[in-house]
Amino acid sequence: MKKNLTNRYIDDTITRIESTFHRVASYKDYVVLYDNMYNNMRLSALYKGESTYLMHDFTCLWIIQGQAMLTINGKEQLLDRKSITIIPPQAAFKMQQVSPETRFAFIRFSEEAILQSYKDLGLYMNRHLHTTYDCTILTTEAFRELMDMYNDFCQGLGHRELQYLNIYARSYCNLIMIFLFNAFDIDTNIKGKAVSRQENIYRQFIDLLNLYADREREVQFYADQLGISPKYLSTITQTYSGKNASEWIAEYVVGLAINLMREKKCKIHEISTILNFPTQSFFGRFFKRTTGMSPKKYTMIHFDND
Amino acid sequence: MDNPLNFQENYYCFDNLQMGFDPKINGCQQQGNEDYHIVIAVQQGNMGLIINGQEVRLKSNDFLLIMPFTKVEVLTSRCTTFCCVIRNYIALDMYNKIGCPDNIVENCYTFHHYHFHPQQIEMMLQDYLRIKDIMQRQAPSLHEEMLKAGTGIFMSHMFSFLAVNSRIEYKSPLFHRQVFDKFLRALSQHYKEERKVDFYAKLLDLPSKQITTATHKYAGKTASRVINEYVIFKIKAVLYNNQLSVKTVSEMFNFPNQSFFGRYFKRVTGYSPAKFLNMHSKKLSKQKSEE
Repeated sequence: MKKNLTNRYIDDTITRIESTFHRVASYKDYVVLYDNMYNNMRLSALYKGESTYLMHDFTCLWIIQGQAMLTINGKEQLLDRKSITIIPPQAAFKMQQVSPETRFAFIRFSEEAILQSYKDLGLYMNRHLHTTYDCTILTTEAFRELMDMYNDFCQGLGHRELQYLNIYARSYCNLIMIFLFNAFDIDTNIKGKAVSRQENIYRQFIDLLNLYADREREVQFYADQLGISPKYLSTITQTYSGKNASEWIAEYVVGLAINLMREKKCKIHEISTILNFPTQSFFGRFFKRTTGMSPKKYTMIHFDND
Repeated sequence: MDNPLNFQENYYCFDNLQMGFDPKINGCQQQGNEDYHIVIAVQQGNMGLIINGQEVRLKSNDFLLIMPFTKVEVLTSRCTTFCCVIRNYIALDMYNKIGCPDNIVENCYTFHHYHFHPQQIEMMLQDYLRIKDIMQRQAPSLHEEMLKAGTGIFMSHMFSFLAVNSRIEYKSPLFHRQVFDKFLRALSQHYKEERKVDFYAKLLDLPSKQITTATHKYAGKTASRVINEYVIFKIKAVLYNNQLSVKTVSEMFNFPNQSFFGRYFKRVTGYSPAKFLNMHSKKLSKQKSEE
C-alpha cells in the first residue's frame, strides 16, 4: 500500500506534465521528449498548483524563449533564453514562476537509459547524476547544436517502422549525455570512490522518504533507519539541497497531500487518514505550517476554478 | 575526392559531395582491404568496382557494404558518393551491441550490395554528415565515444534499411568459389575450437590442398593464413570490448595456455596482446582502477 501511494505520486507527476507539455517523441519509456512549442495555452496549469513535483527520472530542461523560475531540490534557479538545467533523479522540482510566452523543451531519460549510457561511454556511475547543478547559459553555437540534435532526434524517433530504433535511441542518448557533460563542465574522469559517504546517505534518505513518507514524519525515524543522528542527517541534507531534513519531510508529505487533493479529489479527512495523521486538525495544522494556509483555503485558491 | 578525415586510424570518412562529379579517384585504386568495414553509398551517378574478382556496378541510390579481408579496385567513378570506413573489431563490437543479423556481418571476404530508396539514402547522408561533423571537431572530451554514438546512429539506420531492402545477388557457380564460401562458413562456426586446415578439410570432406587453392584464388593467401587472420580478428574484437582479461580470452579460444596464446597473437599480428590493449590504454586503465 505504502509503496503504491508513492508510485502513484510519481505517475501523477508524469501525467500532469503530459497534460501540459506535448510529448513530441519517445522511444517506449526509455527516453521521452517534450516541449510546448505549439500549446502555450495550458502552460499556466503547471505552475498554478505550485506543488512540488517528484521527478523520478533524470531530466534535462532548457528554455527556447521566455523566462522561468524553478526550484530544484530546494535551490532556486532563474532560467533565461538558452539556459539549460538538469533535474536529477528523485528530485523535488517546482515551477515557481513562468512567463506566459515561455517555450520549454525537455528530455526525460529512464533509469535504464542512463545506466546504458554510462556503460556505453565507459564511465563510472558516479555522483554526476545526483548532484544538483546550477543552470548554465549555452553559447549560441551550443544552443543551436542542442536544438538540431533535439529536432533530429524527434524526427528520427518518428520512423517507428524501423527495426533497430532501440540502437538509434541509445546512440542518441549517448550523444546528448556527452553534450550535457560538456555543457555543465562535468569532469567525467573522477577516479576512486564514486560517491562520497555523505552523498550516499543523502540518496538513501530520499529513497526512504519515497517509501515511508505516508507513515513517518519524524526525522528521528529516518536517522535511525540510516544509523546516524538526526542532527547529522540534517547537516547532510542542508549541504546537498539547502533544506534540512524536517523541511524535506514536510514538503514531501504536503506534496503527497496536494496530489491527492488535486488528482483524486480526496476529502481532507480521507487524506489525513491515508497519510497516517492522528486527527484531521493535526493534519490541518501541519499543512498550514508548511504552506502558510489551511488545506481548505489551498484547495479553494488552486483547484476550485477548474 | 576529399582527403579522408580520420580518427586514430580507426574511423575514416570521405565524400565528394562538395566537388560534384569527379571522374578521378585518388588513393583507393587496387587496395587490399584487410582491416576495415567499408560502407559506400552512391547518391547519384554510377561507380564500377572489382571486389575479389567480381565486378560490381553501383547505380544511383545503391548501397555497398564491404567486409574485411577483401580486395577492392575502383574502376570508374562518376558519381556523388559518401563513404564510411571503420576498423573491423570496432565495427564487430558495434554489430554485437546492435544485435544485427549474422548472415550479414559474420561473412568476411565478401560484400553486400543493396538498392535503397532515395529517402533512405537521404537519411543515411544526414547520419554521415553528423559523423563528419563530429570528426572535424577539435578534440572535445569523450571524442571517441561521441564518434561511436554517431556511428551507432548511422548503423541503426543502415541495418534497418538492409532488413527491408532486398540484396542484389551475385551468383558464383565456380567450383572454387563454392569451396571458398563453404570453408568460410565452417570457419565462422568453428573458429573458437580449431585452427588447423586439416580439421576444416575433414569437415568439408575435401583435400586440404583444394581449400588452399580456393583461398589463394579468392583471398590471395594460404588457408592457414586465412584462419589465423580470422581468429585474430575475433580475438581483437573480444579484447577491444574489454570486459575480459587476456587469460579468459585465451581460454575462450581454446588455447592450451596463456603464453601460447601470446606467441600466436604476436606471430600473426607482429605485436603482443598487451600492446594491442595499450593502444586502447584509456579504457584499460579505467577498468583496472575499477577493480
